[in-house]
Amino acid sequence: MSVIEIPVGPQHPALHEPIMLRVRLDGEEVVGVDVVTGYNHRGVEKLSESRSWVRNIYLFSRICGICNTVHQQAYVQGVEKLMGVEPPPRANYIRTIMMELERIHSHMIICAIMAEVIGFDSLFMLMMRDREVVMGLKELIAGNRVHADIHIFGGVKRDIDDKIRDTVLRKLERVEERIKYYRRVFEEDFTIRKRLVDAGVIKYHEAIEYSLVGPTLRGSGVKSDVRADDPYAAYAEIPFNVITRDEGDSWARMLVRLDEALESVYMVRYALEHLPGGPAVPKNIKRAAPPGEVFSRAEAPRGELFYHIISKGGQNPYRVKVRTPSFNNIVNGVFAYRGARLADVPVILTSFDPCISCTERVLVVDESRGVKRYVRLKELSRNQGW
Amino acid sequence: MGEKLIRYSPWLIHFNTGACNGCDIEVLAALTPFFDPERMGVKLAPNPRHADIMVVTGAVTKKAASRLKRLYEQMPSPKYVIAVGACAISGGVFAGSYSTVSGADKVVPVDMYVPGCPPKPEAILDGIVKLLLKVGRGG
Amino acid sequence: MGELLNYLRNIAKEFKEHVDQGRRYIVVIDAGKVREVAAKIRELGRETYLSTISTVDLIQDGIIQLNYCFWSLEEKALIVLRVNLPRDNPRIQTISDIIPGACNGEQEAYDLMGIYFDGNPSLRRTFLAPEEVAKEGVFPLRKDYKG
Repeated sequence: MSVIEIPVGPQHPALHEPIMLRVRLDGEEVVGVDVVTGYNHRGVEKLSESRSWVRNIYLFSRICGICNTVHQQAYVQGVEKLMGVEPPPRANYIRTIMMELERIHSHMIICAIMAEVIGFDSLFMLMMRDREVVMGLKELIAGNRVHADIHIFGGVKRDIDDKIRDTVLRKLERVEERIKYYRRVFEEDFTIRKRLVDAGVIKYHEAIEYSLVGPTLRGSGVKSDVRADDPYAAYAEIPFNVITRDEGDSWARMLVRLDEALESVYMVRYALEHLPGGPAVPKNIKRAAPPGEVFSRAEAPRGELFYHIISKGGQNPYRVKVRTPSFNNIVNGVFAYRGARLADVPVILTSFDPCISCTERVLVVDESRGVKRYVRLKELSRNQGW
Repeated sequence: MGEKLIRYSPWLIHFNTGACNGCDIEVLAALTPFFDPERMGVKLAPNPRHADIMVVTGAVTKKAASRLKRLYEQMPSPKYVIAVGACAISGGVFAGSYSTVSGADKVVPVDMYVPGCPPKPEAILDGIVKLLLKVGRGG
Repeated sequence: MGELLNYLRNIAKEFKEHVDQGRRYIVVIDAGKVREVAAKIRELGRETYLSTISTVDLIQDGIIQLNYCFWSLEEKALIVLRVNLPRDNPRIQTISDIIPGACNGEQEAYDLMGIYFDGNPSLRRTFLAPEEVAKEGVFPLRKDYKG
């Protein structure tokens, strides 16, 4: 039996990070997947060692444009611990609001991409349209649609006034209504269920053994959320539910995300209604940290984000280790493809919320004949054209 | 010659060369109904061989640089390149890293630069329109 | 304190508790014991996952520090297994066959820091680092590398 090898990626016309999957096939069945990484390796950890503590805030937020505030949170809260700075409660609430808005738009974008991958283009377009409301809210609060850059040691850079608060609260109603609608679509739609249910099943203990994190882990029934287990910012004061589902398939992972987005809407609303008084913007900023080390964790939209920050004193960090959630989910999650059909590969990959993209263009290699052909992943997922 | 060929409907191909996704989600946003570029005939090409304009984002990592070059070579002439975002212009915050070449113009010829971190979708569309004007459409 | 933490307290060369933010335990062990401890963590901590492997090049002390960071869902605590390796020959046995989640961390630590994990077949250069760097045989995250 000849095994066919198909590289998926790394460059591609739609979005996000370049990575490549090398899929080995026996007929229609996937026998193995290797991940080829490094197309997006920018050497951030090394760069950070030569930059000042403050400049690094902006470097780390640019690791990921989608989860930028949570990267800043993890870095800033760690350095604040080293510096002995405590942000005021109002600043913590504003940070939390930004992080939850980010979670809403991140979960919406991946659900939209999932719709596109399975060929449901109208749903993709509709979700992208409604996501613009959230982007608008981010811009209203922080001044920028994508990179909020609102964190600074000891607080935030912009305060929220009553007018902004009322606008956000009003627009959230629309967001809530749309997310509820999309949740119903994902739950009930025949096409979506047909493609997602039972694709890439991950069992409870497998998810833990392979160090999967975030909605991927919670989709397998594991109740793990940094916001609840290891609270930071204002999460200890804001009530929310940790969403889990037991099915462990791609469908469960997407529903976890939609439920979480809804939960985030409630959290933003609660935070805005209970916004503490007092200052949020610090008068002056510390620029040096004493020696020490700190392990800082935060819950990014894709899962646990881990920062290990070491200071030897002075203006620069000695070493910052960053572990992003997708690094665990994509590289370790390859076992989930085994036994799946070729057309399920993009669905399973998307269900990990990998900052995918790149994956739409595919090189088909038939080893027995030595033929190479380029195929679009979308065609692949629709089981046509190769 | 060039202006005639892309006069009607310039198709884009987007390549992320190691960006933070910030520019990429903005390029994506610029191509979806809220901003609606199809009214200008602009749409995403499925394949570099169908594309007229390449939108490059990201700091161009060394690993992605060879891919970028190959992708550019696969596009039919006339072809144009737009560098979107601070990273694609000069490396942005990642300039000086051991892993990036810092700037798309070090690998392929760039016709239009759209600055910003990330640029707004309006700015990206504006960059495309300016490029079209530059090569002669309507100008 | 649970069974797992008691076990680690007994086996450790050094056992520190940090309360910087949430619960953090730092457990320093010998390099030779890493497989034994990993197997025990697997056995006692069914709800404990390996969050990441963090590496630090302490050039002045001539050591490379390896931190296996576990998050325990039962304890709601971060358990850091710390191993110090000599900087001139950083070798350690792999734990990726005991804990599959260690595989990506070991690959990264090998490619960027040059720690060799005996028994891990998937180690390779250019996992993350660009080819030029890999060809020179240098490791970018070491302090003596000037990129």
